Amino acid sequence: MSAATGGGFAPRVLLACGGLLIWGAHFLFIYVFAALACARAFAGMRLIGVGVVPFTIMASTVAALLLLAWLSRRAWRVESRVHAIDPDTPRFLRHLGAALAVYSAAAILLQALPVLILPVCV
Amino acid sequence: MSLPNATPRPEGELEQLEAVWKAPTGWRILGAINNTYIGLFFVGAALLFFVLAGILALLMRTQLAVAENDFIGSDLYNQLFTMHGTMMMFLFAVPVVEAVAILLLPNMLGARDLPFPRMGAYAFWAYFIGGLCFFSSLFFDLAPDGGWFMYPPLTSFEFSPGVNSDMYMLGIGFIEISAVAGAIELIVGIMRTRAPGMSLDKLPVYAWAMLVFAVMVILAFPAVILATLLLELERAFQWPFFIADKGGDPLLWQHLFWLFGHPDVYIIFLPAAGMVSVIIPTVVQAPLVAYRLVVLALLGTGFVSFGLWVHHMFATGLPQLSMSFFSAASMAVAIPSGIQIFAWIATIASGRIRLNTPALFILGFLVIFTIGGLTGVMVAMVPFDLQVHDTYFVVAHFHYVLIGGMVFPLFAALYYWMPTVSKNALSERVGRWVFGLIFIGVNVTFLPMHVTGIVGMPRRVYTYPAELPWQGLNLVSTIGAFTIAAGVLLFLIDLARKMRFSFGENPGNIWNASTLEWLPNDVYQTRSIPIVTSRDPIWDQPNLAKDVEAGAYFLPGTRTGRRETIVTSPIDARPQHVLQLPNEPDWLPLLAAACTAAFFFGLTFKIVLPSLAIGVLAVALMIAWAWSTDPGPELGPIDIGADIRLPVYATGPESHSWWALITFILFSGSLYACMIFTYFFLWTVNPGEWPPPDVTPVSTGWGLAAAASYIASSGLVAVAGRALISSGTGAGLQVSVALLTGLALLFGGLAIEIYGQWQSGLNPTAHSYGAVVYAFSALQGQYIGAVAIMGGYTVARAVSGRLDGVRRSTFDNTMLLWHYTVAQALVGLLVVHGFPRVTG
Repeated sequence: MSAATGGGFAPRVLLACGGLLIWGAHFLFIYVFAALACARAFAGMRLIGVGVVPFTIMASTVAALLLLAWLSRRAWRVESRVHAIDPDTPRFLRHLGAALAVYSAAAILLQALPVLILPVCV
Repeated sequence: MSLPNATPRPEGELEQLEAVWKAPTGWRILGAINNTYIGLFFVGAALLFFVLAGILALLMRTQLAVAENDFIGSDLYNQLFTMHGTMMMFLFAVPVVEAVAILLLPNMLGARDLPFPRMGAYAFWAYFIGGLCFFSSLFFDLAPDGGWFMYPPLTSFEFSPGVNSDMYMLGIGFIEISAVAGAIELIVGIMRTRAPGMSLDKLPVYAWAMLVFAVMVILAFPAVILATLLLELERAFQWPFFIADKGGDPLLWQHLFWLFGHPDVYIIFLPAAGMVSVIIPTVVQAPLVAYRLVVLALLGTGFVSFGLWVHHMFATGLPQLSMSFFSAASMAVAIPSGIQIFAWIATIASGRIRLNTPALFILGFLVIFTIGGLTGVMVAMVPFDLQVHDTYFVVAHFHYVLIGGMVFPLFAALYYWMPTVSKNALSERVGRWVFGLIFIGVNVTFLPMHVTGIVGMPRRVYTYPAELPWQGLNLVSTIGAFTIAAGVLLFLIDLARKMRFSFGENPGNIWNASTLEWLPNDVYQTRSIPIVTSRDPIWDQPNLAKDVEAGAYFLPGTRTGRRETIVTSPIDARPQHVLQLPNEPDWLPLLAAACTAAFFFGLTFKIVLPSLAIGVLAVALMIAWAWSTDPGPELGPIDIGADIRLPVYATGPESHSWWALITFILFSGSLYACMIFTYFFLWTVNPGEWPPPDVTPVSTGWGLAAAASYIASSGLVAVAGRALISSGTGAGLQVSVALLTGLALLFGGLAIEIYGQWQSGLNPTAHSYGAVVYAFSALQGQYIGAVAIMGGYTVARAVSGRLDGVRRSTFDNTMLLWHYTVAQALVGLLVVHGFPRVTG
């Protein structure tokens, strides 16, 4: 079954929702990491002069945004290719994926910002 | 465009269609399974529970009207507020939105029915019977009394020794299973039974909302199902998950509960938002503005709402940084809500609003929901939240959100869609009074409650001293509550006066709406299944209603002589095959639901053996109904029109049952993820004691032996699958032997794991470590039990000649769940055996 006939459903939908999935992974990671750093008392460690929690959160945020950019580009290309093979299929998923990526990027940035101003385990 | 089928249609075709879809009459109506009947029963039952829970609220408001009132004592009051909250959330809000969807979606999507009519009927009866039993507990002083979120330690065995809390754990736990069954049906219905041409970009926003709703139910409900399971294990067998002295933590309950509870708010709100997005274009006679952004908003809300749960736990002493992640997500989720509200306002501005009753309720929704949203922003600020935590301010806030966000849209929907199922629309004149009374009543009740809370009245107190400045405010709230009740009563009177259920004699498209449910329809839904080329097909496709009615579109009669609907591809909605649907009356879903309810409530009262016997009977009834599924390809392929010939059978990823099972596996994955979360959460609260000092970890050999047994069983099933393809009909014996041996290996793996732990001296009641290790096996045992039932069933199909290389849907589905169960077991073994060694 080709992608154009409705097969390939899972990869197409997962790519379109990729931004939200990355948001979820990032959210879970920073929450669990910060909680563990406090529960297991390693929050005081420093990496290149920065606290381990802010460092890790910022690094994971950059990684999440890069992954998001790569995934969105891939989603856009896959949808464009599907459309080229089968012009009757709507471009809906392509636009939806792009819009969700923008929203997810904003949400990722928003949840990473507090680490710049708040203490870690208080 | 030439239409798929020539008209006029041959004589007798319509009569045959009517005969096949003839609905049961008289008392046989209880055996109905078609979505229109089940949907109506479901809506009616949900409204009944709404009224009953509302009466409980009136009793509480009467008690609180004056200070030091002795109308109701503290014990009963505790039961009343617990039941009011629990019923409104679990017996009204979630079921009613599911109910409306069961009623409307097939019509709106151009399907003849939902793909699993009997599962829909089962879900309804389980909910209705279970809900009635649950409500009746009030009359025997047995109703739960620990608040609708049932926090331990108050609700555990030490402080709540009676069966009251068990009523919640088992009663509600079982009703949640019905919600999950409904959600699976809706997902498969929306993804696979849309009218040809209704690609995802033409899906009505309401269907999008219900799709997101159903996925959220699948992913969020496992958290509360697991939480209630663990608390029941603690209550019944003293496994200490939530007891701090024994390495448990009451906060674990709060995490699991709100991991479900916050998404639940959106589970309730998104369907209502979907209704609003369909009703507004009709009342202003203009297409919805920014369709794509509204879909984005639904998906965005659905996801991000899973990152909000801790904002119900701001007063539990978590670090500021952790709370700030949840504050950030709470702000991020405001973006999609804002998008929807602006899209609605823009749609209203782009047309000309007709102020009929649905429109009034929509405007009421916008006002009340926005006020609730604003107080939500207030409590999202941690310092303010600490001030008003557990006061009437919070009560006011969530009633504004829930009544505004869900009850108003629901009333709009009832007025709006009534003409699709009744001979008469509801009265516009009475409707205005209903709206006025409810709108005024809600504000009179809940606006003063903000002040009551700020001046210090805590929630859930059954009375208060006269010296405190609360009496006047409470009296006003009570007057408001009775005003709402007057509005609801008036609505019920109008409903009794005007609602006359009918097929084919309805007033038709009285609002000039644009979606398919307003096409002329009968018990078989539309005469023929249209091709959809627009988001607003009735507005944009000329003569659609006439041609559909004349039978010019797809499948204008029955081709197999049975009930049928078209299955289409999930993204583009291209016809793939024809699904055969069961006939009615069918009594098995009703009987199976009654037995399931008896099983759960029997367990509540610790009547163990008879309950187990009835549980076995419930499974037997389900097997009996499953027997007619997987009918094989003999009747096809058939011509549906436009020279399209479709098979009447599918297996593997194209089959609807495969989709249902994948959805169930998503549910199971979420359940297991919550189990793993529980393990690691308990690890974090036991620093240096994981396992506790007096426990010797079991030798790795036991874990490896269990894993080997599981992997071997999966391998055998895979081999049987190959044999089935290559040997065709002759593979019955091979398949049977392989499956039975595989089952023995599955049970063997479980036995090895449990025995290994037991012989190492691990005790589930001594410490949360032992409890959680055995809980993994308990959960795994349930899945192996399910696989054993499916495996045994598959063997029976093979032995009776109902399984071969083509007709293999039963086998494929069993194999899928089998492999999942093994994968889940391996992950569990890795965690339980590997993690203590890594950290230890």
